[in-house]
Amino acid sequence: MIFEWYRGSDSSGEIPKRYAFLRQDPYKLFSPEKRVEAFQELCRLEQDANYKALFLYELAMALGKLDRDEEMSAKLWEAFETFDLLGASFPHVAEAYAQVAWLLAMEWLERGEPMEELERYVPAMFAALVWWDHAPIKRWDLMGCWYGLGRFFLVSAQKHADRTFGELALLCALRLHREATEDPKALLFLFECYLFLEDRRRCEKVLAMLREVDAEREYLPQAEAMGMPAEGPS
Amino acid sequence: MIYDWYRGADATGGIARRFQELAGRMERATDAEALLPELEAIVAEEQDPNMRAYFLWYAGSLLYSRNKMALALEYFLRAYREFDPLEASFPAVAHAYHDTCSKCSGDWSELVGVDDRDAVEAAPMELAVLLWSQQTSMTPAMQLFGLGILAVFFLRRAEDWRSLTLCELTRIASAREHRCDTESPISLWTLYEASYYLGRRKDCERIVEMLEKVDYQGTYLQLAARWGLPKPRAT
Repeated sequence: MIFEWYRGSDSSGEIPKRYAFLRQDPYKLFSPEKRVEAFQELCRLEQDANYKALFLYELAMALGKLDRDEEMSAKLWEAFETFDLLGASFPHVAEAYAQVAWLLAMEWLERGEPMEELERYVPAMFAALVWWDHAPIKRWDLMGCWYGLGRFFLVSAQKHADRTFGELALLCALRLHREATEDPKALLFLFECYLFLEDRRRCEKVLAMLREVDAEREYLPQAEAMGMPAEGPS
Repeated sequence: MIYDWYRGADATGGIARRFQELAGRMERATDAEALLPELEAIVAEEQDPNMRAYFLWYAGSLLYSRNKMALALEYFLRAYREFDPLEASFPAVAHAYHDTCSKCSGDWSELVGVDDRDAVEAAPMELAVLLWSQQTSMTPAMQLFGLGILAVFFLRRAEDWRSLTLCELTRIASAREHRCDTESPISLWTLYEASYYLGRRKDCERIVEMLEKVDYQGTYLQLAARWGLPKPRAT
């Protein structure tokens, strides 16, 4: 049985045939512009939400090849929102879902980590973390997700004075630190978590590490300016 | 190199040697509990928190395998409190940390009748399991119960703080749980709650259809009937 992988809405087999052809053609017969058009057509024809989302992801990739980054981003968001997690066809496209989620998470980093947009990106970061086993995502690929999620947890902890969210933030910061022990940005984040949790001993320890590795003195002054928790049992 | 696994504070190797010898005896003994005072002495002597945690985790695992659940849980919880990922010795015991978090949070504690913990206490443990899962052979697909705990924790905070972002995190966690166990009415109900708050009316309708097929006792269907369907969101 050919096209057995396809669980979309087209029983005639035309859509999977076109998709299979597009996937096999590594920019030989189709110019990048033609690929964009072909995937736009597939998005238009497909009625199943999950396969539509898959084609939107492919369209985003094709747009990326043409350096049409804003359009690529828009299509990634559209794909992320189109995936139907309840639909019977979802398991067949879970890899694309994980990939889309991860690409969006990376977008937040590439855009300079705008804190005012963090909440918009957090679901994508969490989705990548929860579905990483369905995509070729390695642990170092997830570092941005740990950082973004951790930042969200810390902001929530500070806003609502919630210690458990502070602990969630710390878990993310520690995971990041263990993967990149000399990264001063990760150390600053770790410092902020310990500061929130009023763990003076560990704040001092992280500060000492920052003095050691922050050669540019970009993060150390920020940490020092935040002060230290009061003396006492930690 | 022997005792290469040891990353503790004792440079003489004495603690590592004593632990190794004791572990051998504990595994052979029919009454491993009788040897616990010796293990406690090693724990008391060890200065490194991660190695202390490792020894406690070892005792917990052994007791767990012998079906001594209440005592095993005590050791796992003590280990959990000792682990310090900031210390240099942590990478050597990361696998034990991951297992400890998983064991402390799991529903098996209900078996021993000492489960006075709730999602607030378990959520950090489950997040740790998720964050460290790539270091082990455990994938999120094996973390069903834990994803459920995270979903419930996020949902309660979402309700308290009126946060749609946390509702989204709930939906993602419970959807993953649902995809691993499609007929579980509990995960369907959490998914319903999150979808309700997010104004996903069609999803709520579909969840009710699924509940009609799998909620044999009707518990969650009653709840769904009481909640009703959300108004569609404008956006």
